[in-house]
Amino acid sequence: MSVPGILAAVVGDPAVAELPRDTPLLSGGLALDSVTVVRLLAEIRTATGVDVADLDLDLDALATIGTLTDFVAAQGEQRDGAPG
Amino acid sequence: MTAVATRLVKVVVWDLDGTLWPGVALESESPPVPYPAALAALDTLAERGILVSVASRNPAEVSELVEGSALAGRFVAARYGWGRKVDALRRIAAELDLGLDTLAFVDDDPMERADVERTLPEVTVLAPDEVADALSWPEFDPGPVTTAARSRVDSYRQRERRRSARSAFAGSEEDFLRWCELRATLRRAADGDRDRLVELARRTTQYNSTGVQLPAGGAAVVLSLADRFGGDGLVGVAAVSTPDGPDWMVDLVAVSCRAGGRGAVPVLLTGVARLARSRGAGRLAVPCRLTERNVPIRLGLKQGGFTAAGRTGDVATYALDLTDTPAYPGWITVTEQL
Repeated sequence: MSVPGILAAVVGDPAVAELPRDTPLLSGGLALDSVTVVRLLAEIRTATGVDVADLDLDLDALATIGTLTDFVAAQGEQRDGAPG
Repeated sequence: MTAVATRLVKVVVWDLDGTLWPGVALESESPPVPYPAALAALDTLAERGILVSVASRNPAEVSELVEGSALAGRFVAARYGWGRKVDALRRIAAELDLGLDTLAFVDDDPMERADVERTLPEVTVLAPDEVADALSWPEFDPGPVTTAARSRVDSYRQRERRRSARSAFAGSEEDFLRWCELRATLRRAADGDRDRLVELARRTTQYNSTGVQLPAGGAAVVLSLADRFGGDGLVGVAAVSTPDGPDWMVDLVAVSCRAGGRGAVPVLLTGVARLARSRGAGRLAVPCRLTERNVPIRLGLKQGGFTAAGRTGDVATYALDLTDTPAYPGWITVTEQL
């Protein structure tokens, strides 16, 4: 499942999957609360194998729907392309 | 430094019919009379500062029966209605800002228990007749119980009022905090704070930097919060075991989840940064374990201007340069007694 799809499932609102990429995840946008952010990252890790909490020390990926989507895609490719 | 191993149950979510009282309350002509054993368990939980909530498939009218019974005023974040208990539990956790692994769920229906066990394995699931025994398990033992713990239900009710005001408020999060007249007091920890600080270090997981116990020596800065809805008391601590030299390191930051959503982390660390700078330090460092659970505290560090400066294993160090005096956010009034 895509990051917007996972996000929509976690917040329980299918319309969220269609929001613009530049929608902020935290303040000024979806304003996800802390428990929801933790769940979102756990669901992304389960679905894609990308552990955002471990890989993105400054959590810059949590800026917008687009930055999170791109981060997960880039890390997924890197891992899939890694030798061995 | 010892890692805190046992997770604590912070809220016990009860089914109503057949669990808290016999029969189906809405089909009965007299108000429900709770099982004595359930009532005794609720009393024990209240003494320990553990919250109680409700997940019932009854329609919301049943809440009037609850409030008209011996159970009045005990529950927070109750969920009623015909939906999966799993969803009710998720909502209760979200509303209270607690992780699902701090929830226990009591239901007489084996199907409901099985569904929760399968879907949310982190929740402690109990049949009603297991509750008395469970109360002696370590996860139901919060250690020394402080005044803050006993008033926790009041504090969560305050929070429900704040939440409903927030959903009616049209402005931004920061405008809302300003409207709430959010006030913080920062001071040095005193001997009398010890029990509360140990409790904070032990209870917090989302807003806990290292998961270690409170260091005994050094300096600790403590944070209290209040706003127009009431006071939360002491809700945060930052401990510095060697408060000297050009580099200060914060061994532990622990903030109550009741306060974490209201900027407690950046405010507390800005206070420590200002104290460090006034003592001649040039940099403040905060080591932080990289778990998924404590992502909220890392977002708080980011909000306070900290950036990652390095990593060793599963611990990253976040640092703030103290060339300029860090300023408090504009949406809070801070009283400094450092």
